[in-house]
Amino acid sequence: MASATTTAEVTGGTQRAVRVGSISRGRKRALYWSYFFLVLFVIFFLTPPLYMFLTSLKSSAEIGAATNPWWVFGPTLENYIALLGSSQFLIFFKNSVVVSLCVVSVTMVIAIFAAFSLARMGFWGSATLATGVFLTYLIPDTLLFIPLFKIFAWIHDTTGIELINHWWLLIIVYPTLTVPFCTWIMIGYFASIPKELDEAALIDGASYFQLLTRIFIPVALPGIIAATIFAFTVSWANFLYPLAFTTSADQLVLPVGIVTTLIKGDVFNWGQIMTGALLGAAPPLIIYAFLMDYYISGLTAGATKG
Amino acid sequence: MTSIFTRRTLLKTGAVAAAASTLPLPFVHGAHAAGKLSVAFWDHWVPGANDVLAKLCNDWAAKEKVEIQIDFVTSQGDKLMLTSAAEAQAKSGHDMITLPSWYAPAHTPDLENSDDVWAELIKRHGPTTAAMTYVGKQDGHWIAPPALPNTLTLPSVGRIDIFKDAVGLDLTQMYPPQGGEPNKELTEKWTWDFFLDAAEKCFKAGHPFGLPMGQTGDTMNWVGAIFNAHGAELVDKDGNVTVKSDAVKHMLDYFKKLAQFLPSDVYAWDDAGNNKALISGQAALIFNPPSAWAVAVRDAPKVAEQCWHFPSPKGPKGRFDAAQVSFWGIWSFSPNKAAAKSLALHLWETESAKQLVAGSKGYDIPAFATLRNFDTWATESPPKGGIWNYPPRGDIIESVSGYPAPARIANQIFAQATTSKMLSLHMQQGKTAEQAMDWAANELEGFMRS
Repeated sequence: MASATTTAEVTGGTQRAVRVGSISRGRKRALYWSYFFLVLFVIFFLTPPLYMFLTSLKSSAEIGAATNPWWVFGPTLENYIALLGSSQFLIFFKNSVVVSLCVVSVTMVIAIFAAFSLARMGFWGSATLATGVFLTYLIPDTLLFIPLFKIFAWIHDTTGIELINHWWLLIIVYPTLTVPFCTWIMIGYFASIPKELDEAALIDGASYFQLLTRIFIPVALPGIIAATIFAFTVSWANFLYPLAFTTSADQLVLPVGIVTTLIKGDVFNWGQIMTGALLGAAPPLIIYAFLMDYYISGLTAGATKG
Repeated sequence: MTSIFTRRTLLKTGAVAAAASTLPLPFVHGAHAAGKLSVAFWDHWVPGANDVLAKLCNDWAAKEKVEIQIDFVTSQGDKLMLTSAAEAQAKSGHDMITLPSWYAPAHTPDLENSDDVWAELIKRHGPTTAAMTYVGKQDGHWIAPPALPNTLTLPSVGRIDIFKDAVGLDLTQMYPPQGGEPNKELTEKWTWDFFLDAAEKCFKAGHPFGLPMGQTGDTMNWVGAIFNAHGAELVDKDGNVTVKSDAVKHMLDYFKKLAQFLPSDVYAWDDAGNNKALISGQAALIFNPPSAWAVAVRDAPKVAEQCWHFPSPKGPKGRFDAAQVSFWGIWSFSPNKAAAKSLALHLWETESAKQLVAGSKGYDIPAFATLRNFDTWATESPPKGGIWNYPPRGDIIESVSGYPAPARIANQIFAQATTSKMLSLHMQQGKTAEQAMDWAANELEGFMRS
């Protein structure tokens, strides 16, 4: 068997090394560079959470003092105890959880049915409608909140139903952000499922509803999980709508609650702000950690089909 | 039997009715004034201040038989601005809402004329301040009643010990606590030129002044005060761009010198930057209301004991303290404007104002000089008397950044931080004074077109 190691060969009187296995060496170099940039990336993106964590372990006096900000001289859990013992913070947390779970449920029901009908039922104008759904997603919430405010005011004036300043209003408004994108992801995923599958099912006498529930949903599970994570992240972290539509402390959700109750004028309660932000970031972080693979596969399927 | 309605009595009744119809709507009184009133107040940072305001409102509502709903809306994340903008667009929402500084003139077309409320308040308490008049009176009319919470000034907050050691100036002697008069000799010396000298001395002593130079409210406020003290106008009262002037050039040169004695990161400070500089014990002086000192009382008591609030230095045009004024704007689409006006008047009763000032621990300053001698400013401590000189008295003029430009332009100057950007171009980016003024003139021309 020929040696795979470097051998010597005489060419024109000079000796030159023949490189065998240079591809693997190239890969090695690429790997080193990858790690180099990965480490840079990790340092860049993990520095702020690390700073937040360190600050969350400091007392207000230490935060205000002129000391090294990257070291905790007197570690304390007082910020965690204060927040977790505060009924107000727990209300924000509860409101966020309820709103997010409801929004995810509403969004996924609408998105799955809408995507199935647009991707598979092939009715007149379905392609235009599908594009329209995606274009809706491109309208930013900064443009939508005043028209929405006007609609709610009109509803109040005509029916007497007060929608503004209630946490449950967010369950109605968040789907304006989540449904279009989730529908778009699901259209892409459903389009990637071979047509032979539904044709076979239809020949066997399945209805469209059975087609959806027995074939499409099980097959498109990674796409559904990806859309679910997206809907959860948007509803958990949205800032503008709760800022515009809720006011009373017992109606606030976490992102707005932290900012509005822990910052007063130019007085910043940094320790508790950092603690609240870390605790608020925990649920999406846990979800991403467990379902990351599904999320990526769901998004990429949507990107290449349809 | 003769009729009680003669031609003469009918004419008389008609004349009275006609006169009554031209007068402002009567305020709600008595047992039949029931109705609903929804109010959005600024969410106060001082613990307990909201409770005092809520109690006063509820007492009034019980007396007037009005069903009141009170919301405390924070100004963080521009929530108050967002809420007022949305309500003005939707022509629906609260009946009365707190509008800080420039938010009020920006909503002039949607606000109920409040000349009647102001006439009553001036009758009760005397004239109001120049700052309140400048922002609150548009086209000859008062656009909203004044608000007590969140009306404040940003005077000097100096360290007694550092000033004594590094500058040789006893702040407590210059502006003594209640019972003493300001020392005329020392206050005359307390000028912006002296300030520059003091900044250098404190810098050399390791305690630079904590003066923000970013694009923030605190920056625009203190910079606005020094500009006004030197008559340096960016735009005159008629809306002409006057930034290319000797007075503005003098300011640019002044700030160039001052920059040497400031911390290098002041250009990146937010509104909490100067607070932190004071609380950490580093800064010898900042311009701020007593919020920074109040946090120091909690977190750095040794620093708090040495903090003294006193007026800003004097310039050629006078002694200007930066001011922030607030209003209780009554929407023109409110269904219960009379009740809103009645509530505003109730909150401006002397006793109510006294309670509100006490509730805010002296942070809020009434818009009338006659209401600026409450005990709260004398008793809050440590040190005792440390905030006695916080409310402007005597020769102090309350200054609004952007003055004397018309409200529409001054609002833009404040929001876009034109003054501090112009200064930074000269102080930090190496532009000449002329280049910086040219840049500002170009920006201001843009505001005229918008």
